[in-house]
Amino acid sequence: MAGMSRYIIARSIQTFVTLLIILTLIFIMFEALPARPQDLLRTAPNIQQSQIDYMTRLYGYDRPMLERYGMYMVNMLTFDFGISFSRAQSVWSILEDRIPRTMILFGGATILSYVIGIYLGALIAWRRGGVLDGSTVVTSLVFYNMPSFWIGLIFLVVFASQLNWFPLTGWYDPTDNLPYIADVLWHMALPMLVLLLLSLAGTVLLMRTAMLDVIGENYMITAKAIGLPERKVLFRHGARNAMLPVVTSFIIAFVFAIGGAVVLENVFSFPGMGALYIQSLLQLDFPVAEATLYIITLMVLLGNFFADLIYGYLDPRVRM
Amino acid sequence: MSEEKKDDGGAKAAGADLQEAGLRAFGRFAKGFMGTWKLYRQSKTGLMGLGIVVAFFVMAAFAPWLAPYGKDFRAPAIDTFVADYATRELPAERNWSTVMGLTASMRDHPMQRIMVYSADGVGIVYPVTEGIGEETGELGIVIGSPVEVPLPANVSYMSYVHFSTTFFFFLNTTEDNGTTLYEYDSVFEYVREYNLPFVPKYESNLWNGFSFVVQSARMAIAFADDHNVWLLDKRPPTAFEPGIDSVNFVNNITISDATIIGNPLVVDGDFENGSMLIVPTDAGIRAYELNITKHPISMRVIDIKIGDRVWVGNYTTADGDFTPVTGNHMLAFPYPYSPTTKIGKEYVAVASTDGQVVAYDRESGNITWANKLLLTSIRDFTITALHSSPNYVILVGKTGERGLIAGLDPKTGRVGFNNSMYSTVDGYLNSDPQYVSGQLRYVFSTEKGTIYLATDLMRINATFSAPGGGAVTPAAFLGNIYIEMSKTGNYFGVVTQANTLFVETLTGVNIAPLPPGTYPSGNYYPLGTDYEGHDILTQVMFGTQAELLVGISAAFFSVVIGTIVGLVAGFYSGLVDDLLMRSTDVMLSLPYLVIMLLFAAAFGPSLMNIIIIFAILSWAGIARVIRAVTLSVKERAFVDAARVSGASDSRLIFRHIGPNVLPYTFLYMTFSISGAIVTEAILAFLGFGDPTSVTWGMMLQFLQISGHSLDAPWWLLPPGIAITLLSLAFYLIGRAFDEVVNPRLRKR
Repeated sequence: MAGMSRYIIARSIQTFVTLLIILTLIFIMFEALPARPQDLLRTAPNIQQSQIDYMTRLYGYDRPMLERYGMYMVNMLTFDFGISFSRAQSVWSILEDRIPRTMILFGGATILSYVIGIYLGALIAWRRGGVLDGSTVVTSLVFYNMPSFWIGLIFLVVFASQLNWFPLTGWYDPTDNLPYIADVLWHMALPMLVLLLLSLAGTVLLMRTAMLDVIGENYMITAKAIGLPERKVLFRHGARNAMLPVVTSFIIAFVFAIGGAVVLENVFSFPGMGALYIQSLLQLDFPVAEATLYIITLMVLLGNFFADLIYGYLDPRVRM
Repeated sequence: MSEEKKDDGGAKAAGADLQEAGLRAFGRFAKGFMGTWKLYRQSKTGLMGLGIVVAFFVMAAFAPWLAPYGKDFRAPAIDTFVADYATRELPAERNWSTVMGLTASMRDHPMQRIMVYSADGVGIVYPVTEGIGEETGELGIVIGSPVEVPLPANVSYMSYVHFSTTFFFFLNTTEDNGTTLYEYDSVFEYVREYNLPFVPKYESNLWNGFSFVVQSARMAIAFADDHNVWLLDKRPPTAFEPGIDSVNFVNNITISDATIIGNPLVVDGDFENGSMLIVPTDAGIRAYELNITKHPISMRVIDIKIGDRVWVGNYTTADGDFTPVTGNHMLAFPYPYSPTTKIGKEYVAVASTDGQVVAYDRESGNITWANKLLLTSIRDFTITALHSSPNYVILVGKTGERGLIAGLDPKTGRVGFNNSMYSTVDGYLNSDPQYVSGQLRYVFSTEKGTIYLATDLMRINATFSAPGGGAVTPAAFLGNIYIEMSKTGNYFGVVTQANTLFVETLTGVNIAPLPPGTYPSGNYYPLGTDYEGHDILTQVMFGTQAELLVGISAAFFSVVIGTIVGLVAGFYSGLVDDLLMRSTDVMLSLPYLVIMLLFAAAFGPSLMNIIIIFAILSWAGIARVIRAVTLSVKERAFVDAARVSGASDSRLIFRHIGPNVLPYTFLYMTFSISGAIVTEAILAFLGFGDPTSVTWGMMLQFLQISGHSLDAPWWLLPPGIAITLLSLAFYLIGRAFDEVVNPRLRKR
């Protein structure tokens, strides 16, 4: 594959530079927050000034900003997140349980939605104008414009609260008489379903449009004219080319979907990264909030990177 | 033709030229518009989207006329609060005082009377009993026929205290720098009066030394003016000394080197010595011993006297000087709910005008803690008063136009529960938060005439306004009409705008949010109400204004930034282009909602900030597209022609390339509006929205916070449907317009 290794290297460098820029942005934003961590430290009743000074030195607030910035960058890149302000544990120990949960929830939903969405979008574009086409488009349009938390709440009301098919909150409940994995999946089912529907809406619409573009191309007409089986024309020739803009949008949608996961974790009380992020922002727990934001951004960047790789595999023109 | 024009003379020709140029431009615009419209209206969905948007605009503009209720309407208590109540029309329009419950102790006698009085010497006492109420038809409080009692003329202020027997004091200022104090008993019979050689400005809390062993009581209150403090010592009749009933003014203290600026505070030493009198002055907090001599065996109080000064606490913390909040409620301490626990009585707290609370250790006067208070989700607030209360210090303040009530944890001096033990209400508080023991609730009112019940964790669990439109007197806790504390008969009372005495029990059930329907007050709520009684349909209609404002402004700024970036990048290829596109790439790869939450936490919640944040974080997609379009337009012939004829760069960009890029700008603006509306809803729902504005997202956030998200579908569905519809409508407009701008998309 011509130019693939060069492409990979170029993309890796770009990802790394973006990461550094984002880390810097995060640092600046946290400096701009109105409350200083010392204010929170001072609220303990018998805290002595010497202890406050110790904390200040520990967190490095007595050093000039540039030095702090340097320490911060080194810590972030080596995944050394320090200790949470609101809980007396290391940030990493709080995070390590939550990262896989969010990744499974969000990653699973996104991948599923893309697999289904590409297939469905291609299908309805091929059968353009039918009832399936119209109804799918309308449904997708409506879901695309719904606020994610609202659909989540409605699902919660209907499926969990009224029908009792799914549990209301959380990740795992030892009192359910289910093996661990089954119980976890059962808890994750509703938020994943909602995420799936939301991503699916965007994917189907996009794939359909891309497919319609492609169908009109000459090579498609030729393929059909020379008598290739329909399925082959549709997927081998059409979908493969239509997937290009879809993969591009995967990058963009990945970015949007992370936001959706953050919100939905809140609605479903799912103990993942997103819920932790919001909680730590509201509590002004700086180390946790910074670390969570960093991990989330890292996940997004890595997702984009892999999407770029796939795109590079599919479309040789990019590798130039 | 131009020669003819020139013949008309210079100025006229120039004017006509401009006019003609303007007309020509308008003509071009109109032709373009009509052309666009013809293409646009071929799309059914586009027309539908446009129709929906127009409908929302109409709703926003005509909301005050279309909505069933006014913007600040709240369902009256009869609909939302199922509680026993009673009303009585007051005899005449007067400036009535706060309603008072004439009650004896909870042990011996239930509340028997309610009283109001007016400044011109009219006092009206209503007997109250238990019975079948006329308004409710159920067992509850019944207000009997009033009895007028004569009051001294020009009563300026009255306070009352009660324990085993009730006694009241009126303060009546006379002209010659003196005051007369009147005492009445528990059935409001005149007992005696005293002349005071001063005009009191401040009054302390009641010190109450009741000995359970010998059932004897002693009570003391301190009065103060600018420089003096007098201690009033009352020995009421008790089981041990039934014949005694005396009132004395014991010693006083004079502070000549400072001015007293607030109510003094009497802090009990828990039956041991160590009781103190704390006096706030402009030169610091001064603490005096309160020497209470007790009989060694019976623990009966023999004597009470102000002693020596023990310490002075300055208004200076480690961070520097502060200005204390002054007035009738500047000092507070948390008192234990039961006499045997001692949490918190070890300090006295003062608030500062810049949001700090400082605690002085009661024995030494050293500062135990000094905190700049933090509240989750509220940036700016001021403290107006501190109140002593069981186990907490209650803080009353203001944030913007709203009133604030918060609870301070006595061990840390922070707002309890991780800075979240507070509530805000509509309008500033006009009454003290009164604690109703046995109910674990506070009752208070605001200047808007609404009455609130809050739990002891500062959660508002009932709000109501009196029928007839709001209270005009501050809410007052009256007492319990039952002897046994277990029987719930605690009532509060107000005088309403309709000159009616209104009393209601504190133990009612708040049945809001109300499902759609008609209710006892006769009101019809087509979509029901929310937890505070706001009509949902009204809120959705009025919310449209903010939604459209935020959506369109945020999208507009976002698109403007994106277009400029795209134009500049596309036009000046090379380094500028590279730099701008790299930044665009970085922006695009950010998870924008997550960053937006961070910005919202940093900048603070307000509509303006949300607009700015959205603009800053979402211009990247548009910039990309505009750049691509600019690149292709740049290659066209007319640009070269203009360049050759000497047009400057900016002229090229704005006059030649710009108009060709504009259709794409408008196109993406519609999609951007669609996204901005949903984004604002998400931000509001998560708690980062503007709490003073009513938007659909805030409605859903309130739903979530009030805990009714699972059981109030009439509240859950309308705002969400509105958000979806409006966002969808703009999106459809965008799609239809897309077909106009990109002809390849047509006929799909």
